[in-house]
Amino acid sequence: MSALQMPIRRGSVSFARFRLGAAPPRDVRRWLTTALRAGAFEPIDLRGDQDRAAGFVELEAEGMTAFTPSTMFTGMAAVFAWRVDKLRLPSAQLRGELARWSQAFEAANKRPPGRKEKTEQKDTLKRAWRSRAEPVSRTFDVSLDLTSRELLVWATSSTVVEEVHAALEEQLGMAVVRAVPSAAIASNRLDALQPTPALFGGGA
Amino acid sequence: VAARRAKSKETGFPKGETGVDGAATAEAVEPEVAEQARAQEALLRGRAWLGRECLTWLLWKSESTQAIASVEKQEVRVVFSERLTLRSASAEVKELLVKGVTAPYTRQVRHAIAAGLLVHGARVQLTWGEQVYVATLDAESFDVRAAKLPALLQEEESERLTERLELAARLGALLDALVLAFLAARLSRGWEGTVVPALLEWARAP
Repeated sequence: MSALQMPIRRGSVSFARFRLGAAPPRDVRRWLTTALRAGAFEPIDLRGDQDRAAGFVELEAEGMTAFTPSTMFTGMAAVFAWRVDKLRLPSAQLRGELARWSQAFEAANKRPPGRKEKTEQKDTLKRAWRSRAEPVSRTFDVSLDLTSRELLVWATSSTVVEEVHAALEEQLGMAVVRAVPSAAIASNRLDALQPTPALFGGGA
Repeated sequence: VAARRAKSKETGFPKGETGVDGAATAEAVEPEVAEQARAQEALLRGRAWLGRECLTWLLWKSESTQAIASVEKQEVRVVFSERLTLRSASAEVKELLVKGVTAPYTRQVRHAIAAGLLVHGARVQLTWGEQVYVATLDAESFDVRAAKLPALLQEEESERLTERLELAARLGALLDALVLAFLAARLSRGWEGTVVPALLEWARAP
């Protein structure tokens, strides 16, 4: 996805709102850069078994993870992205190749291949496919207002939003709280709060 | 039929659906009970009930067209339009969706609220000074969906990005102000004695 297509720049405005649970350190730029580098995107190892990879990348270049101030800060906000790469196994294609191999095996050996031979061949085909596969890549923009500490995840998928939320909490080392009404209430008061019976018609 | 039942018992055993005596291992749950449980779970998840109370209170307050909050000394006005979803955790009708420019303020919606269905999702228009923002909200996450921001004034790409981020932050600030206005009422002593009766009176009006 190119920078021009990014939702943070143009197009549909949809985002999940969060707020940093504590004040960031004084050297906020260094703190953020270190955190993002620690959770930086690493491509899928095509020789391994991994089918999915996710991590932070620069907003302007989805292959870059340097997070230099010139690429990350605009006005009083930090902008970066969450990249997700997936390998999609073409199962129908693999089934077809396995069927052709089975026919060739039977013609050569005068018997159909056994279960073990089929499994081995399937693994061989999968490895061969992985070595030339191109992962499908998507990026989701993230912005952090350094003044208000409001963090926006520019995505509509709840799975992606939760994944970015968890990654940020881990890398920033602090709670990142969803901007819902309950978040604005002190915890001791919130625990005592119950749904209003007259409004819920006794269903709460 | 008897042969089919016997076969069902045989196939159910390895799946753990039936015991050695052929009886079901778990009691079958009535669809109504399962639906009720799902509705209750949705109500409690992420304290969605508080979000529903908030959006319902906002709908009620917005009908007067008076400002509900202020940000940087400028009033924030709210209008619900286009579509509104109401949900219940107990009534026979679990969800009601209305569409239409003035649909959120119709008698049907008010009477549904009186019957225990509260606003779960809504398309709202927020006016702050000369700026108009439109967004879809839901009671559980309060995520902003398909929002329309005021037109960008800057022409340089980098300045446009900064301006867009500022407008998105402004929209967040307006939502925060509205939520705080709701919480001031919700956490006040008059909530159950004054505010809720007035809201229900509005909802029950013919």
